[in-house]
Amino acid sequence: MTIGRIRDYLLTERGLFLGAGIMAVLGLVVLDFSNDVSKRLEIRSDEYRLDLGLSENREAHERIYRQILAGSITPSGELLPQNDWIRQTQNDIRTFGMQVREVTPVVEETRRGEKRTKLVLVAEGSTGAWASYLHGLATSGSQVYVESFKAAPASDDSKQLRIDMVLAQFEVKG
Amino acid sequence: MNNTLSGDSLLMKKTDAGLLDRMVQSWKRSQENGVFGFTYLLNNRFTIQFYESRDDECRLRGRETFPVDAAQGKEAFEKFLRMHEGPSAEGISWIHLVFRSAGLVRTFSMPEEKGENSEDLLQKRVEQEIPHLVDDVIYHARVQNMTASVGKEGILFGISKTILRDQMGSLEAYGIIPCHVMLSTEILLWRHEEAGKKRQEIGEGVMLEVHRVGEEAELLFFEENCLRYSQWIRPMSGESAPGLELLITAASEAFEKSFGKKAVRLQPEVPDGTLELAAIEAHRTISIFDFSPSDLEARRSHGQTRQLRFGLARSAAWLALAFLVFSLSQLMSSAAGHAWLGSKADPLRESVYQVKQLRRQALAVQKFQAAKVFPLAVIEILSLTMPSELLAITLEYHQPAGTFSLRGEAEGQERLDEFMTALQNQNVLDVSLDRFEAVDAATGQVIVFEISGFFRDGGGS
Repeated sequence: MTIGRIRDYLLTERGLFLGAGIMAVLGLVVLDFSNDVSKRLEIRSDEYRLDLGLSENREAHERIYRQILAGSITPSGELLPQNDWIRQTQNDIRTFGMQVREVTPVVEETRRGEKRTKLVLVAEGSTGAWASYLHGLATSGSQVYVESFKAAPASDDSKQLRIDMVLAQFEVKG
Repeated sequence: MNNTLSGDSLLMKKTDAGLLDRMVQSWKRSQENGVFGFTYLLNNRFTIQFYESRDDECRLRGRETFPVDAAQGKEAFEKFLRMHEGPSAEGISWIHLVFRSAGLVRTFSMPEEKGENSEDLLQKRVEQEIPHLVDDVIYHARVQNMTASVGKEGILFGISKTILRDQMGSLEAYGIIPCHVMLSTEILLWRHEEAGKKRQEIGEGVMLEVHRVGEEAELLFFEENCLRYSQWIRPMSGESAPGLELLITAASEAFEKSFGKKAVRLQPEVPDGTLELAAIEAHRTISIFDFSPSDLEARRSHGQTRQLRFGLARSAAWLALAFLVFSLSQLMSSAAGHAWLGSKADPLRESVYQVKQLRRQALAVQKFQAAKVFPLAVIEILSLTMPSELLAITLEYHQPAGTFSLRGEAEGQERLDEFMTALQNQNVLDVSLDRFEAVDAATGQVIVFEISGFFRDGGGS
């Protein structure tokens, strides 16, 4: 009897509109949840494809990765404290025959809310000295790398360069 | 509907509606392919029946009688409605039939037209026939297409406004608002006329057609496809009272005495359901007068609005249901994908765990190396490829996207082309010339240029 009454109510105009509203809201909730599930499925599916690819030629892959690791400079894993980093940067610049004009630490916040310190460095020197500095940075095992730079002649009639660099430290995760 | 006269101004408008309106209405009604509800009052009880009409077929779905007082019969009616159609009387095309017993049918001779138009003449004759009833009945009259032997005859159909008001009120209490109110005699005459159009020859003499409704019957005397006389007969109660057959014979004899013509009874009699089938057809083709009182029109319009809203609600519900089903199917398919991947991927993940760790480390190292080496690589590539005639003004590099841009000056177009070709031949960078401007317009020798590019393997990203 009760079920019959509910059915009759749902088949009236008000009941139909109410049912439509409930179903639409439910549909939206389910769709939103389904989108999340679907995104997770996509990630899992990519992971699975990767696992499948790795499993097919496991030995070959392992060999290549070991070769990469053996022949590369691996990050030391430790980040330099800010003051040490500034000091070391000033020393490096001077060592390669360049002049430090400015070193400013800047703290930036990443999208995930993590804070990262960067150094804004302004230096002057010849192209060769600068290339040597970059070479030294590239071959050392330190975490420091050049995130961006802008090089231009120090003045109109000078062969010296003024280089604005932003230095960052590479963070190894996991 | 030539030579038609109506006793209700509103209905007059309806019958005289423009051809286009009639066509639109007729088309709309022809689309009413579905369930028709019929109501009629007989022996102080409402008979309600459902006929399903699909194309040319008509099938009885259910029939039940209910008391006139809706307070006594509403529950039973709702049960009956639920059993056959659904919880609401809305959405059904209701046709209310009024039998001859409650109607007024008169046939009368028409005088010769002497300068008067036929409508005025017809109106005059109606007022002569029913002088005291003109304001109390909803009526309409027309001239029957008689042959020369009989002469012109008018026919008048009417139903008392009081009767209609009472019946409509009772029906409304049941939640029924008829879309068409018809008089049984007019339906049967229309049916007879329609059948006559198909017949090539017009039968001679008077024919008696008997239409039984329960224990009662309507008698129609046709001559040359026109109605000469009609009568409703109801047997008296009691054992000694004459039966229906005897009453039919007596009515036939009475007709013979009055009109001086013997009526031949048509066999077989009008079968059950014929009246309803003809009513549906007449309703669709707008062939029969609608006796609806004028106030019913407003209620009908209200009912149509409610019906429209109900249809909208139903469509919205179906749409929402479809959306919900779609969402659920998406979720189910994702869940099924997860389950399938779970069964396949979990054992595989275990087996490749070590090599995957190595891969992660190798990628991190590559990224680290790229970040360290690319700034130097940009400078080295540019210094190797840039001709001495070119002057670099500014060089910019951005690690996250592995992009660089160079602004400089060149002495002549050839040097710049040479530089671009050399850069592209390195197969490490993708470069494009973003700006090219001849500074010394007089000679066209000094060119300011801007080049941008990025590392093909994605730089440090």
